[in-house]
Amino acid sequence: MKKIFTYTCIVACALAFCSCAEDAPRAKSIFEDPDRSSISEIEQWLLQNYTYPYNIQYQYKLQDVETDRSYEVVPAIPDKALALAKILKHMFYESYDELLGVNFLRTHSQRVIHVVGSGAYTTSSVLKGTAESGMKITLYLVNDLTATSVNQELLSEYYLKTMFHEFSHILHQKKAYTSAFRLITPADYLYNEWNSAGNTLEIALQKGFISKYARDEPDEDFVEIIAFYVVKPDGWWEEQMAIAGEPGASLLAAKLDIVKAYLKDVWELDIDYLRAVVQRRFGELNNLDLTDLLK
Amino acid sequence: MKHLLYLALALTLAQGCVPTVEDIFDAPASERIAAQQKAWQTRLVNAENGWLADYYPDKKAALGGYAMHIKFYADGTTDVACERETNAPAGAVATSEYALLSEQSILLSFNTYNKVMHFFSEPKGQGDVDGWAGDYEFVFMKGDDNTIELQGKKWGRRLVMRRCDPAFDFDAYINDVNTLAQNIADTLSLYGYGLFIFQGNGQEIATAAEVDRAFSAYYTGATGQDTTLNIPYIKTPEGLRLYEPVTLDGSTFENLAWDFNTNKYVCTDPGSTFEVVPGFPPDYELKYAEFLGRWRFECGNGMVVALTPILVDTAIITAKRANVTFNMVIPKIFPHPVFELEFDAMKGTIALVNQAFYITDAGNEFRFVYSYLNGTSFYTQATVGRPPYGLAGKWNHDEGDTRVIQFTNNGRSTTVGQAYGFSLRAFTTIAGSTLASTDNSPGFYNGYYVGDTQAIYGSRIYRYYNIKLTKIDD
Repeated sequence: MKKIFTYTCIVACALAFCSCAEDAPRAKSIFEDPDRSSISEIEQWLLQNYTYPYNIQYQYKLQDVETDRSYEVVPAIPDKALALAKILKHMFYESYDELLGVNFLRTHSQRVIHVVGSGAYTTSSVLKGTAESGMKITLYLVNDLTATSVNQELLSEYYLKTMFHEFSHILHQKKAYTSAFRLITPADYLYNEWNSAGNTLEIALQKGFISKYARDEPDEDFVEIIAFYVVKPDGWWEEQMAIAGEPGASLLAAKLDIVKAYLKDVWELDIDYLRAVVQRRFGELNNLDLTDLLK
Repeated sequence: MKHLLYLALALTLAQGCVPTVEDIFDAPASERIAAQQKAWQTRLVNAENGWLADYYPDKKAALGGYAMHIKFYADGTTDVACERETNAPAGAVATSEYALLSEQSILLSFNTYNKVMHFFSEPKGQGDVDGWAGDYEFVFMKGDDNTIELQGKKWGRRLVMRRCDPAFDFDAYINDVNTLAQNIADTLSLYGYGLFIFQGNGQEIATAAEVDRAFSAYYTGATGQDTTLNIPYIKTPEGLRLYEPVTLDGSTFENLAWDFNTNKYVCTDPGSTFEVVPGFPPDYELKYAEFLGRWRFECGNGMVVALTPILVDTAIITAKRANVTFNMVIPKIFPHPVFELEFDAMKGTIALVNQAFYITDAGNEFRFVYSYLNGTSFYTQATVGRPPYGLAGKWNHDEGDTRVIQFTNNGRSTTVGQAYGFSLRAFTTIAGSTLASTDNSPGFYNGYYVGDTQAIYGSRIYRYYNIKLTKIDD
């Protein structure tokens, strides 16, 4: 009995101590400050929508060691990072879910999405996204996201193209595509010279590449086709084929055939269906209530 | 068999020794790091009225420092305010998050966007890839409950945080700092002091100009060579606190208080006799304020120096960046450009060097002042990296009670010859095209834009030389 009494006292003391700590007045109430009160809400939302369903860490708190040290960058504004998380979930994660079920991305997606507030600038370029060996994808310029930039063109350019591009790398790294792809335009890859002045978009198209960067090497070529094909609006692909002319258009058609067959045969993924879902979801963006986050 | 037995015995004995080795540390590394993190965080949070931090942006701290008031809360949030305007007004509090991380040592990271703190790190675009090059991740170096010294992880600048007592009010602190700074500026302006003399034991150690929040000190080094030392500081309600203690000619100094009785900074560090006294060097010409006002502007104009039709106008010189630059307008001869004059605070002289104007009323044209050189050749140059060739003003020491500044070659060009005067050129921004007319730009002549180089084109009568300013008494 004495023991029980002693334990009770200890527990009581502990509780009393806890309650003191919790009740201690702070210089500011958390409810007066929207920035402060929104923090745990963000964590909760990310747990429910990224960590639990997909086993993904959506990292919006910057650790400089996680970025390329040759750039000066600043962290994301939490509200904007949350808005982007909602956009990516709607446009990227749920698109694949719709086709293949939640297990597909739960198994294959990058484990870490790292978002950074500013761009990573050099005097001649700005980095929009990077990825590391299928584990992590970094998206920049999150603080530039505003209510007016929630549209197909800007979201594709800054964030979504990067997501589809980098995720497609994971797929082909897990299961390789046919080497026939590399043989369609074997002599026109530029490797580190892809950004040279001679490689304009028009020339790239005429040579059978969907973008300038696609000329870097075959893997980039492969995933650029997927990313552009999925995010660009109706009619865009046909316009590019018209610019490409011959033999560019035929070369791109041959590449797209291999891409489609690979995704279908290896991953049971119909890229035309994926594309239709993504395009439909662009139209649903207004349903994501982002007004408060992007004010 | 016997060998095997010996081996077995040896192994048994050896094994027996292992458990007797004692751990050097009383806990695993991860626990020790966690304990350290906890200890630092407790210290940060326990300062209920926060910390006053000396924040120095820039890779070399050359711009000087700014006071920040930083509060840390146990829930991982932080309030930051700064004495200068950032992405928030001066003194306004911005809330974000912080974390204590473990990398090679314990790191304080402001890891979500803070309008005040990250103002100093934010890249502005391809033209400014690193903003102010300020840190927002700091390594704990040393400290106690009252003072903590950290070091910026990326750029390496020191961040010293001093615990604020419960009565501390940051707005009042900013007000005190600004009031003193204004009083000092008024005093310096009243007497016209252009620079400072560093003194130790009453002897001159160095002369120093003040640019932004730093002294640029000039002195003769140990081996007789002229030496320049940048000494950044932060403003305080008493005077100045240097970024780090500086030793010059045996005198060490860090904290300086302004003395209103003697109008100088006095070092308050124990045992120091160091002082910073406003003054002028022996061959100093004129003070910054003495250049301000109206001047009679005269110059020659024509193809060669010998032909001298004189142009006369009234030039008005106003302050641009105090003690650094002036604006000069000469409205009748040159209706559009505002010339920039440089002030040399160490010599008390002014200079007119090559510069660009961007005049909006004439669309896409951009224009330059070029120094023109002896004889017939003009110097043409690229749009970027314009060398500071040009003209320096020489004062006549008010001979005959008339103050005159005569402009001559500033001697900065050793390769392309002497500058006698300047010319003004207008160009289109379109490579390979010629500006059709200079009707919108009296005083200019038109140029031909070839890639990065603006070649001369058209008439050469727009040369201005033998430039003279004579003070008009207001």
